[in-house]
Amino acid sequence: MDLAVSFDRTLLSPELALLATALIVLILDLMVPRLHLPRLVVAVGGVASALVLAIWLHRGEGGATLNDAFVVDEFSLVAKGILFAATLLVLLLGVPRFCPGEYLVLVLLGLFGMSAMCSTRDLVAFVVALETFALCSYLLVGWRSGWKFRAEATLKYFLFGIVSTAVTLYGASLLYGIAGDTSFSAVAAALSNREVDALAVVAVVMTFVGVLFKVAAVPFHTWAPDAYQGAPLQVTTLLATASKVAGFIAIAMLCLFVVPSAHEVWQPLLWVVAALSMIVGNLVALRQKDLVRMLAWSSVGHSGFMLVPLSVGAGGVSDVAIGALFVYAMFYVLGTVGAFACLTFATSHHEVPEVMDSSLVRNGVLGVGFAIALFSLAGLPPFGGWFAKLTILKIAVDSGGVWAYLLAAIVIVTSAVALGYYAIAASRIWRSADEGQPEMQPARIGARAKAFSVIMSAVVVLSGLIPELVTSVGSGRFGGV
Amino acid sequence: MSIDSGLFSVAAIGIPFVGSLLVVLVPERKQVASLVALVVTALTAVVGLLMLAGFDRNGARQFEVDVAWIPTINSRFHLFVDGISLPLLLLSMAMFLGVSIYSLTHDPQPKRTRAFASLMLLLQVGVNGTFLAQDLVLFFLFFELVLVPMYFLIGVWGGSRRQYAALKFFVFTVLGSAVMLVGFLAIYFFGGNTFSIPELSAGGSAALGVSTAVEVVIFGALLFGFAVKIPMFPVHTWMPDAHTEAPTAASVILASVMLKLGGYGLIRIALPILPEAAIVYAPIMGFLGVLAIIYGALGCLAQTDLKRLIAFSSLSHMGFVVLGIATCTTVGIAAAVFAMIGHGLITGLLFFVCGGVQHRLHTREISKLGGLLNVAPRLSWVLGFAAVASLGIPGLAGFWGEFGAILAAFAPADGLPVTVFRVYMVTAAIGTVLAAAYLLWMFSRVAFGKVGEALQGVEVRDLTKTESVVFVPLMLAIVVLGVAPALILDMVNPSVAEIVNDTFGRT
Repeated sequence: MDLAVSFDRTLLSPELALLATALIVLILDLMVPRLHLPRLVVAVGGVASALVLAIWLHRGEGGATLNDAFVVDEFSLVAKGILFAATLLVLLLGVPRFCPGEYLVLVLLGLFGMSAMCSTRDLVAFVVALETFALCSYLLVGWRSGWKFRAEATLKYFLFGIVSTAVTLYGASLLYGIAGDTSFSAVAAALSNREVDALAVVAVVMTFVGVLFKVAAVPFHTWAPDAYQGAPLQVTTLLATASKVAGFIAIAMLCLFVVPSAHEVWQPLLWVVAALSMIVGNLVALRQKDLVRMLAWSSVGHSGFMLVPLSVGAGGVSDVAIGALFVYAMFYVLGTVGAFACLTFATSHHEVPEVMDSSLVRNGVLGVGFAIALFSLAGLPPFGGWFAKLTILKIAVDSGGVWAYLLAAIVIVTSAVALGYYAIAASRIWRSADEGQPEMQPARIGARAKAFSVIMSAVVVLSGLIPELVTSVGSGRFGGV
Repeated sequence: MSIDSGLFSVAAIGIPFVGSLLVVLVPERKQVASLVALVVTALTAVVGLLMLAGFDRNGARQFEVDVAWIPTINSRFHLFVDGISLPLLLLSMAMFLGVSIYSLTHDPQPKRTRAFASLMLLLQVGVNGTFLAQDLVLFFLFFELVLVPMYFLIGVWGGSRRQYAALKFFVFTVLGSAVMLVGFLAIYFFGGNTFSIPELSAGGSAALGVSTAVEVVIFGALLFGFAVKIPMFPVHTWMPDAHTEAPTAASVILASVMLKLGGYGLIRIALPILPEAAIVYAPIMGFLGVLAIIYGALGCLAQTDLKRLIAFSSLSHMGFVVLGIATCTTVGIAAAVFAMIGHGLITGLLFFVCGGVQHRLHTREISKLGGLLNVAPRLSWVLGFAAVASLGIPGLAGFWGEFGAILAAFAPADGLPVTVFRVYMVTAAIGTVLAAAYLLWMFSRVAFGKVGEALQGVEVRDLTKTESVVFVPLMLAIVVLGVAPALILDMVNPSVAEIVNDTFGRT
């Protein structure tokens, strides 16, 4: 019996880069804890090099390693690219003094987990990778505490998280029972050879449930508003971008690789979850007074939008649908990072109030950047998000059938609702103070914040005018929208 | 043209776009931003004049640009002008120039001139782009582009209920546009995976290859989107609030230019691509048009706020536009285009004057204004001129649009119920009487009679220099178009005839 495991350093290079960076940051933190900037620079450099390696791998052939449990192909590389880019942007938001070693190491290891997950083609490895970044994110949410609400949010997130992982694991074990092997291909083959009976239904649904929790889709979303509000703003950004996109990649992997033949089971499930998420997320966001909570509920709505390509389409998920998901994910990341970046910069040198309001970003550059990010998330031209909405609607219309059209109608109506609260938030940026309240002073921000804000705004507007700039990243197998 | 003529179209969009970015960088000193905006709009107007000079009335598409834009969805950056879009484009350039001259001496409150100018120029990009775009996705981009600037223009610089008005306008219009977008996607899907408007129009119903029932549904989606923008009854409710609460410059642009986007969309996209459905919907559109005429007129009679009255009069005038389009004939559609241009000039002038009144007297309540002629005769006579033009007196621009629409309703296109349209014709004619009623009554209450309480003890300046510079050309244009409508109709008729013969001739 050959126990040797194939280990292709080239294919594993992005993950190895991340691990190495995490170790270096840890050592730096132990040896020279007061040198803040080099630590952050190393972390940023590590993620950047992982991104570069992923792009370089994209140009070459793919491959499989670790006894075919780890596959590098178009899907995994595009997914990793989006995750690395999102995390890179979030790290760039950090103030060196407030990025101690633990924070950076947790982010890097969480990213490692996400990245590994994209390449796994084995149930056990999949769940382990999911758990890796889940554990890192629980710790990150509760990091630098002192605020009771943060402890409550962390606990909620943690408890929810482990329960849903347990559910997924149970579903995965049932799938193993059906297939006799844990690799994705074995499960897919076994399911396609077999009638979809009660066992298969339970297995598939349970497997999805745990992952749907990760993306905060209704009805597995209740942890999200508290976690987003309670976590430090940079961690919230990570939760809203990298963690969410990773969750969607996990769902996409399930749909594409693990249970494609059981689409009669999971497509209706995803349809219902998508519809509920869009409706509940956007309607409840209207009622929120706190800005971060509103953004949390709106991101529940966005989860619904991102589930649309996966839930329409006869006979499962097509390459075009995955392409649509990637496109939406990219624009969503740009908009969310833009919005949270402005909030982070506005509050980094001030005391963070209990209830955050858009008037915090009153400063000229930040205010415009925040408004641009919000309208991109709302899907308005000329800001990038409009093309993402168009892509989603196009998939729904092209798929045909009553259910797809109904979902398209829900997308339209909830987008209009979403515009309502985004517009109100944007208008509050420059609204004069109410009677009796002191006038909000514009936030003081440094050059880095201005530069970041201007560049992000420019990227959002440019990608809205020339969507190819963003969408060509995923061109190839998933290019045709 | 020796230089690539497509550059003119690009310049019509590019110059305001670059201008809107530039104006943010200038110092926030008193006049600098307004001057930059003036230069930019003047340059754009020059581009427009050059396009007019080089326009061949019998040619089809001119100043064309066609490059790849989003290959993944087969959407191209395709612009051109023809006889329908050129007059509207010129109207837009002229009104934006007028507004930027007006803004030289009328600062918006609160004073953030840079942001105001930047948003205005961005608005111009959207409007010009909508009239030039020949690709459905590109059209959608520009159609929606106008929403964000207008939202902020109303929401930040508007009147007392500006938040409500701005939000209502925003959400309503976005909902309409989103439904319209789904219609576009359906057209793409059924029409052979192309978004190109000329290609789809040339093919018409046959190219789409769907049953009339499906066409009717798609047309309904498009109509909903355009109906919100026009606005048509019953999705017009955003308009009175938006017009009333917007600052003067924004009201002028909203009324004279932005309301034309919907009507243009109907003529350019909905009718040529889905003619069979257009025939089915035509009686309904005619009904809604006539309903808007009467409802708008009656609404005007009930108003006590001058600006809101003018807003309702816009609803009534756009009813004539809709009626003209609903007849699906060359006369009707050409009259609709002419009505749009006439309305743009006349209502723009009305809103300018109303802004002038509000600026001087700090009120728009008609009951408080009265005897304006005593204190500001020139301003009052401009108001009188605009009121008379608005009611459609022969000899001024307003007449030809109304007259043409009514005339077209007498003989609608083949396949349309003639009696029904003749009923519409009569009702529309009654609507003109109502228009005369509300406009003359408004003018008599404002200009004649006892001096109102708002004017007592107030030092009122008559027409200022900038106001004259803006008003006089507008009035001249209204007179010229009134006595020589051929200036516009010679441009419009060939293109409209081409559309009507190609589309309805086929069905």
